[in-house]
Amino acid sequence: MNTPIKKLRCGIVGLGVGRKKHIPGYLSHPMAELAAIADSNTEKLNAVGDEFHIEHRYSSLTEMLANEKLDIVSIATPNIFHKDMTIEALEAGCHVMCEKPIAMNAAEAQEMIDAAKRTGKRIMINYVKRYIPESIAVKRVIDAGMLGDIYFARSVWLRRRRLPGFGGWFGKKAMSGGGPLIDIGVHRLDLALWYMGFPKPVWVMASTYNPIAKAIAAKEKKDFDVEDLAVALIRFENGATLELEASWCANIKEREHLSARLLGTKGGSLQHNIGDVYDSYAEIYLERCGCQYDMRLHEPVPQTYNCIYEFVDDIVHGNPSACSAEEALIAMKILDAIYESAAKNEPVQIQY
Amino acid sequence: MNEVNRKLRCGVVGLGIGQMHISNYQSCPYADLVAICDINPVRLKDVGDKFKIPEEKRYISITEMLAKEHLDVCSIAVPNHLHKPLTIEALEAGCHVLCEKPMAMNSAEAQEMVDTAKKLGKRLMIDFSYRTSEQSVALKKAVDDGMLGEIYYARTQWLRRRGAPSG
Ligand SMILES: NC(=O)c1ccc[n+]([C@@H]2O[C@H](COP(=O)([O-])OP(=O)(O)OC[C@H]3O[C@@H](n4cnc5c(N)ncnc54)[C@H](O)[C@@H]3O)[C@@H](O)[C@H]2O)c1
Repeated sequence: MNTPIKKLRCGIVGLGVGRKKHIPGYLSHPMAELAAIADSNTEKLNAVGDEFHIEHRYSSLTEMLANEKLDIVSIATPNIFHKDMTIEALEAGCHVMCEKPIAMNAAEAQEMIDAAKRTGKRIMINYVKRYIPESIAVKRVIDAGMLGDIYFARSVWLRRRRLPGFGGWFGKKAMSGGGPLIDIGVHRLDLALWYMGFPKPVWVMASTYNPIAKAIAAKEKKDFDVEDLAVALIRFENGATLELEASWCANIKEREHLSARLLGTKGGSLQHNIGDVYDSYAEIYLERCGCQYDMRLHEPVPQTYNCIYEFVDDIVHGNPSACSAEEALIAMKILDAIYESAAKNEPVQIQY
Repeated sequence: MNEVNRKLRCGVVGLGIGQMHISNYQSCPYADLVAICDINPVRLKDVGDKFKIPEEKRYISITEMLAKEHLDVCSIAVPNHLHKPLTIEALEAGCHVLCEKPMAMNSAEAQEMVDTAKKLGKRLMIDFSYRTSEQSVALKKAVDDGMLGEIYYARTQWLRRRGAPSG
């Protein structure tokens, strides 16, 4: 183990989710030192700096990188900035913890991967849904072969009405790359792909809609040009199929509905949220001796850490990190194909 | 009362789910369930006894039943590969046909059935029984009433854990 004596110096740009998830993430690891923060919004910058007693505050990433020698930088700005900021941080010699979606599209993601290779630095994506106990538990069951080959999966995140930062950058395609699909659908897509072992996607058939948010936006005179519902069927080279659904607005019963169903040759699983919140429930379905059994996860569940903790830990110990940019690129190719299929009204074959 | 001004003479071919057809015809005030048909003599007898169908109204052959009974309505509830030929045979014998789902083995067969019904001026209905449940009827009314607006996404599923039909 080549544990450095010195703590890793970490900086964060973007203090929305940066404040909510990245700051606690770095504070949770004993080998991380939260050295600096950056945000173009001075008021927010100072409020967060005061709240967490962080003295080194910058109005831009460039300024932060020029004045601080950082080992890790978190990129938690609107999606439009992920690529350029990630490359800038990599080139300044930092490992990058980048928010999801990795970028606006697959071409940008590829550029980021190339930059990471060139600089010999890491990129990890903050896929928080992988690091909940139920996800870790299900993944262990899959890796142990209990489900056999997964040939069908359905992964959804449907909200009845909840538009993030309505009127802000989330609803502007030029800044976000898309709506609920790229925002919350990307979490469900990553989770399903991770469970399925990242098979190679080949065909996508998808639709996007925007009847509800569009009407609200018109009424409230807000800018909004992304979908409020996206649905897709993804077909993989190994024959497996994945159904994906994501909404910010849909006329459903639940306020929040998250679920991931896996059908495997030897078993199945269903993971879903409970009580309209993000608490998760997981079950495994098996046949044994000609009888049907349900296996339910009980306390104590696996201990989990957040992505940011894991990233720091892997760098400290020289281990490879999970949630790689390469995996995020596969998801991004699918997201690109979904938007393309929806726009063209026809199935899209992913090109390699 | 209807286009023939008397109770409709109804027959059922295939006595698996066809038994549902029998009891539904028997409970319908405008229908007379007059004859049944199945190539399996044991089943024919059991079902005939169960629904008190006179022995001379139980047929092994659909052709014979159609020739003798002058039916107005014929239910086709046989395995899927026979839906097309038996439906067409019944249509050609002058019956309106209630055929079980799925309509046929493929859309080419289904097209032939539709064409035949049209040519002969007979009705062809498919037994999508879930449409007539109380809930489905109520929901469809709500939809037709515009309560949901325009439906832009639907997802419908029937997953069984284990349960392939026998037979
Ligand atoms: N992993 C998760 O669960 C999760 C949750 C929420 C958001 N996110 C992702 O995090 C990113 C940020 O989302 P958010 O919810 O924090 O948005 P937000 O709008 O709340 O916060 C973004 C922050 O970035 C700042 N900013 C914008 N442009 C900047 C620039 N050029 N330089 C410096 N700062 C700049 C803004 O002032 C703001 O404080 C998005 O990519 C989003 O998809 C991920």
